[in-house]
Amino acid sequence: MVIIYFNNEQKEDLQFLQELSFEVGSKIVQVSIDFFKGNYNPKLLQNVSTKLNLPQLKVERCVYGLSYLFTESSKLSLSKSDFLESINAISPTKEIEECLLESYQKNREEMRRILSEMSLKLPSIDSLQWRLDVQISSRRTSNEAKPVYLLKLKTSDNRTVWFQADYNELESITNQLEIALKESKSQHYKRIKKYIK
Amino acid sequence: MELSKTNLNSLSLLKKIPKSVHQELLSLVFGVLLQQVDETEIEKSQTLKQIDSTLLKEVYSGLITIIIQAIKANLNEKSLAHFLKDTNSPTEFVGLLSTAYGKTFQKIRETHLETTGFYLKRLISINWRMDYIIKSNKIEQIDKPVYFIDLNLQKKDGQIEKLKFSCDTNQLQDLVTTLKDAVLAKKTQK
Repeated sequence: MVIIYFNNEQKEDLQFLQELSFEVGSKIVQVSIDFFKGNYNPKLLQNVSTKLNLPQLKVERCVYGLSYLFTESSKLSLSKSDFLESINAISPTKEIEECLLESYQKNREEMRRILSEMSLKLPSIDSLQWRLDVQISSRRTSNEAKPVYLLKLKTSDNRTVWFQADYNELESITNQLEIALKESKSQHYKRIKKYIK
Repeated sequence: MELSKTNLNSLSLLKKIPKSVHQELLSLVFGVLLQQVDETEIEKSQTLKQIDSTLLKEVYSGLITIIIQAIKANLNEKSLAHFLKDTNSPTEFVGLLSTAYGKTFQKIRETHLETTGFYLKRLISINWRMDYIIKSNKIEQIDKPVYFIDLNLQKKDGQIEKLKFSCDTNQLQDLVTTLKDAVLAKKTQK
């Protein structure tokens, strides 16, 4: 059972939601979801606060508080009961509570995807293209027929690397990678996966 | 190292250019060679505007040719300085040029000349590691395997370059399939 802990400041900011009608409250929740997805527009906050006749600072802090709520709950992948338990701390009205839960459940997967993009990682492989050539002659040798592979590897940080390999090397790395792949189906891996869960 | 008479002459022309401008000219020349600066910057430069443009062009093209030929011939800093001493160029400039050359030699060689030549890096060996991601500071309960692959490539001068990347199980499967096709292509040909 995991709950999110709000500090006093955040509790105050989020309790602002209690003072609002359901419509207004849900609009603010929507703004904070968009904020999280990257559509942060300070002008939008200004417009929303003037339209709803609310002090802008309070609206802004409420949006930040809600973003914290959604970030933490997506990060921890909170279950429905844990989520409800966590927002109990700010004692929302029944309607706001439902609105928050719905937004959370609807957007959880996407928020987790965004969070994992932001996480630490090495550049990953985009594509590998290959071409098989036969080297016929060069300045020092002639009349030979040596097969040569030309390879182009693209990684996610937009790097393109060209290199060549001969048949034996290519075969050996293919075998190595097949062994690597088999590891994901091995007993040891399955055991670890079970233990960690 | 063979250089045409006009190129060698351009170095002696440096005497006509005031010393204060030498450093600026050198930085622009190396900037162009490292592909960090566009050639049009030379026309835009305030300090170089005071020099007669034909003179500037001759000196510029002479410098570029000398540097590229020196890199091609694999001269090191000292050999270049030695060569330049025989060419009637101002000694202070020779010092500046050789120092800048020594610093950027490797990089220019890699970015410019090796890509236009026809020696590609050779694949020598591979290292791999499989990890299981549990959580990160941004997201918890990830519970996914990840592979780290290390390819060792050898350059013409024998230096080994490591190419590192990561992939998940699906990407590794695609990679293995692609490589198997490549290996099969050769088997069916011979």
